[in-house]
Amino acid sequence: MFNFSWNEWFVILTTFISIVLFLPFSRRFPLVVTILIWVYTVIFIETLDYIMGARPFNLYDFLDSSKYEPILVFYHFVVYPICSYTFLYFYDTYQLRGWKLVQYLAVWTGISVFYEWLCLINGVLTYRDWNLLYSIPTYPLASLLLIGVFRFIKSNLPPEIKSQMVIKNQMK
Amino acid sequence: MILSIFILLNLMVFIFFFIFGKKELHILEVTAYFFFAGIPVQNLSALLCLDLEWITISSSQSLEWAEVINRSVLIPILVVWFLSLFIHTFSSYKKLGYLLFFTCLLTGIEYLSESLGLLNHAHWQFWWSFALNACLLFIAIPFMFFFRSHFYKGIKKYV
Repeated sequence: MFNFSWNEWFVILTTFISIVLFLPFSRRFPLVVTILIWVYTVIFIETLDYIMGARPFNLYDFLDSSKYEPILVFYHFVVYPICSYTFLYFYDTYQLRGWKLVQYLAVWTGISVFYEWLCLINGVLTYRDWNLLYSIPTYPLASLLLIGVFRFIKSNLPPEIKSQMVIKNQMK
Repeated sequence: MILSIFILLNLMVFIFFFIFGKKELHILEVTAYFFFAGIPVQNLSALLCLDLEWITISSSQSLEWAEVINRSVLIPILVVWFLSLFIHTFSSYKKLGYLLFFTCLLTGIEYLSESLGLLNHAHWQFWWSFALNACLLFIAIPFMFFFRSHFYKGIKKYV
């Protein structure tokens, strides 16, 4: 049913690299916050990819066909949540606001577009009615939404869990 | 027309849940369970509709959107509602009753969607819907216990 070629290896390699890069930051947030970031990212990206990549829009394909290839779970369950976590790690550690936040969003957009281009040339992604240029505004929007969700989580945390985050902030 | 009906239904369930259903859960619990419940729904739908083609979704844009809204809002919020009732009931019979009721409700919504043309069961047995919806509720339960065990560890309850 599915063919295992270089693009699948690229997904596995990316997953492995992202886990290695993630390890130094992995204990920044309390587990409850990590779980919330994880479930939010997984459902956000799965819903978006389903709507944009499959039905109703069918703008791009992943891997070798327009079907849902099970290897994509590596992206949805590991790579994207790690990216979200790392993004929030720096955002929260350095309390980025105003102009610094704009610069930070620009850097992440640059990295994301570059990685999307790598996915294109490695056959992980094939555009139908999409263009790399269209992706440029989507990354800062998704990042701002992620920040919104993170701030919502932080503002609703019970004081005992919030204090764990403050302690970690002081330890940095 | 059908899209408007489903938007209204989703809104009503959402509002009713926040008025009557969520009282027993902390807002972050609702958030976590809502997001979590959507994950198996999206994956199963992708697998059954795109890969296996056992279920086909209507090619009409408005009906497709109705299906997207049901999958992203209605089903997860019903799972959260089930969890909210499940966790605050001590009787095992009542827990089983809620499980049966919500399984029937989710299966009913699936077949209502079919009768309104949102989707079509191509190679399907009725009991598969029942079993999958029961599994959907089942897998949400250990996640809820896991989340609560960390959320309420060493702290007083906020609900």
